[in-house]
Amino acid sequence: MKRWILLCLFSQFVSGCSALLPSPITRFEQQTPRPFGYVIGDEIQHRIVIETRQDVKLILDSLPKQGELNRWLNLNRVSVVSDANPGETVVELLYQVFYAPNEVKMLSVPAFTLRFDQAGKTLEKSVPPWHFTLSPLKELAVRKDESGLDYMRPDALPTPLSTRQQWLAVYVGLSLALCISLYLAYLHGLFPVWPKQRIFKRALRELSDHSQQDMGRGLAVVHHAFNVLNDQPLFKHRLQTFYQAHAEYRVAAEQIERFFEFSDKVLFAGKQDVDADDWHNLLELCRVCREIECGRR
Amino acid sequence: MRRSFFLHMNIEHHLNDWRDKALQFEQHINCTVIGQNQAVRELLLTVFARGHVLLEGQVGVGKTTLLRAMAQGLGGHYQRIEGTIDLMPSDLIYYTYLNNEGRPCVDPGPLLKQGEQLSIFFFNEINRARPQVHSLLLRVMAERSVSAFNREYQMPHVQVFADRNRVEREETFELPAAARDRFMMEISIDTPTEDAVLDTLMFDPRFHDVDTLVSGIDNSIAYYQLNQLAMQIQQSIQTSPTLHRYALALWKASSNPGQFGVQLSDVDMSQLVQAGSSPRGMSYFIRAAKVRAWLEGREMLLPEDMQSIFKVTMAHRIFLNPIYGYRREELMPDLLNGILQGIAAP
Repeated sequence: MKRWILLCLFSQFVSGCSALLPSPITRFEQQTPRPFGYVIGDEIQHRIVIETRQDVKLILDSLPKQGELNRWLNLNRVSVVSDANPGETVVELLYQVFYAPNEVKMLSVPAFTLRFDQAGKTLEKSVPPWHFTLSPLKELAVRKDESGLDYMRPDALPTPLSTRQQWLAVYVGLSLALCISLYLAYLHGLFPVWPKQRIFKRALRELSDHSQQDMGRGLAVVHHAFNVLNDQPLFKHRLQTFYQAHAEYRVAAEQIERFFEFSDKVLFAGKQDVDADDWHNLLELCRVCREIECGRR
Repeated sequence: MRRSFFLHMNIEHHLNDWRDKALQFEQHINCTVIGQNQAVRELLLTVFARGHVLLEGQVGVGKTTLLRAMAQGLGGHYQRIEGTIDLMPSDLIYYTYLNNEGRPCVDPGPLLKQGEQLSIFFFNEINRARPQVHSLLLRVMAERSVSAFNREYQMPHVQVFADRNRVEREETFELPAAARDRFMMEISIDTPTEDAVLDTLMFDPRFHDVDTLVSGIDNSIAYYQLNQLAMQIQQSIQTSPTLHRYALALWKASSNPGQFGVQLSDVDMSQLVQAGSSPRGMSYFIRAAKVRAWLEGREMLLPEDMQSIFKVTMAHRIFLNPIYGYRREELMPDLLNGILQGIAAP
C-alpha cells in the first residue's frame, strides 16, 4: 500500500513537471465560414489563430502565396497580424472562387503546412483542406421567355463606382497641359497682343516702308527695337550685359555687333556710301531677331 | 588739294605720336600710383582737355601723390600751396619779408612766381581756404590770368589741381557753385580694394617714400605743347547730328530728369534739381569726351565716350534742391545712372 501511494505521488510529480514545459504551439484554431451557399465570384475568408511560445516564430514563407492557386481558386489577400497579444498570430486568408458549376458541387480549398522556427529547429503544423459546396448561378424555376427560349435576365446594375478622383486627375492633367501649351505658345511668340514678342515684327514692318536711301531711319528703327527689348537704351559697350539678360540673342552676337559697328559709322562718323548689301544685312538681322523672339532659333 | 591732304596726314601722324606718348605716360602713372586706374585715366583726360581737376577722397588714399606724379610727368613749373583757414588771396600773389639788410621786400607769390611758365598750380586741402581765396581762384581757373601790381599776369599753361579730404568738415568752407563749375572733373579717390594692391602698398618699400617714388617719373610730356595739341584733338574728332541730339538730351535731362522718364524712389522729380549743368559744364563734358575718343584711337565721338565720363564731369555741376541736399550722396549716382539709362542714341 505504501509503495502504491509513493508511485501515485511520483506520477503526480512527473505530470506536474511536464506541465511546466508547455507545447511550442499552444493554440491552433482554424476559423472558417459556412461551407455552403457560395456562387461564382464569392470571396471566402479563413482565419487561423495561432498561439505559440515566445521563442517560436511563424515562417512567413510557409504561407500560401497570393495569386492563382488553381484554375478556379484565387488567393486574393494574405495578412499576418502578430502583435495583438504576445505569442498570438492571426493569419487572414481571402480566397475567391471562379468555378461555374451546372449543379451544386463540392470543392476544396487545398491544404497547406505552416512551418515555425524554434531556435533553429523547424516545427510543422498542417492546415487541413476545407470543403464547401458551390451552387450554380441560375434560376431554379423553369421558365421560358416570349420566344420560347430559356428565360434569362441580367442582374440589376450595380451602383456605379465613384469616379470623382479620376475625373479630378483628368481636370488637373488638362489644366496642366493647357498651361504648358500657353507657355509654349508664349515662347514661340504666338500671342499677337504680347508686346515683347512683336518687337522685331513691328521693326520688320517699319523697315518694309523704307528703302536703302533711308539707312539712318532704318538703323534708328532697329536700335529702337533693341532698346525696347532691353528696357533701356542698348549701346555696343553694354552688349555683354544684354546677352546675360537675353541669352537667346547670343546666337546672333556676330550680326548684332556688326550692326552696332555699322551704325556707329553711319550715325556718328558720317559714313554716306551705303549699298544694297548694307540694307540687306539690316533686314537679315531683323529677320534673325524675329525668329529668335518667336523661339524658332 | 594735295597740300591739304598732306597737312591732314601730318596732323594725324602728329596726333598718333602724342596718343602713344599719352598712353605711355598713363602707364607710368599707373605704376607709381597703383590701384587707381580709373582716376588716372580721368586725370589724363583733363590734362589733354586742358581742364582743372578736383580730387576728393579719404585721408591717405594717394590724392596728393597722384597729383604730384602727374605734375612731375608734365614738367614745367610747379607751385603748391596748402589751404588753411588764415590763407588770404594776397598770399597767393605776393609775400613780404625783411631781407638781409633789414629792408622790407615784396616778392611774387606762388601764382606769379613762375610767370607764364607755370604749368601746375597744386592747391592742397582747398576746402580749408576761405571763400576770398576761392574767388581769386575763380579767375585763375576761368581766364588763366590774374591782376596784381597794376598789371595783368598771364598763365596760359596753368592747370589747377586741387584736392580735399572727405572726412573732415570742421573749419572747412564749402566751395561755391561757381568754383566747382570751373573744375572739369571732380574725381573721387577711394582706397583700392584688391588684396594684391593693398599688400604691395603695405610691404613694398618703393611706395613708402613718396618723394623718391614721384621723382622716378620721366618728364615725357611737354607742357607748353599741350594747349595746341588740345586744340588739334578737339578739331580732329568728328561729331554727328545724331550725337549732338544725344548730348542735348543729356544736357536737358540734367535739369529736368523727370521729363526724360527718370524716376527715383521717394523723390518728387519736378522738385529734385535746382540747377542742371551749365553751358560751360557741357563744353567741358564734350571736350573730355573727345579726348577719350582720341585716346581710344577713334576720329569720331561715340555715345560710349560721353557715357564713360558723364558721371565724373556732371556730378558736381548738378545742384539739388536743399530739401534733398542731405541725400545727395545717395541720390546723385542714381540720378546720373537714370539719365544714362533713360536716353537713347539714336
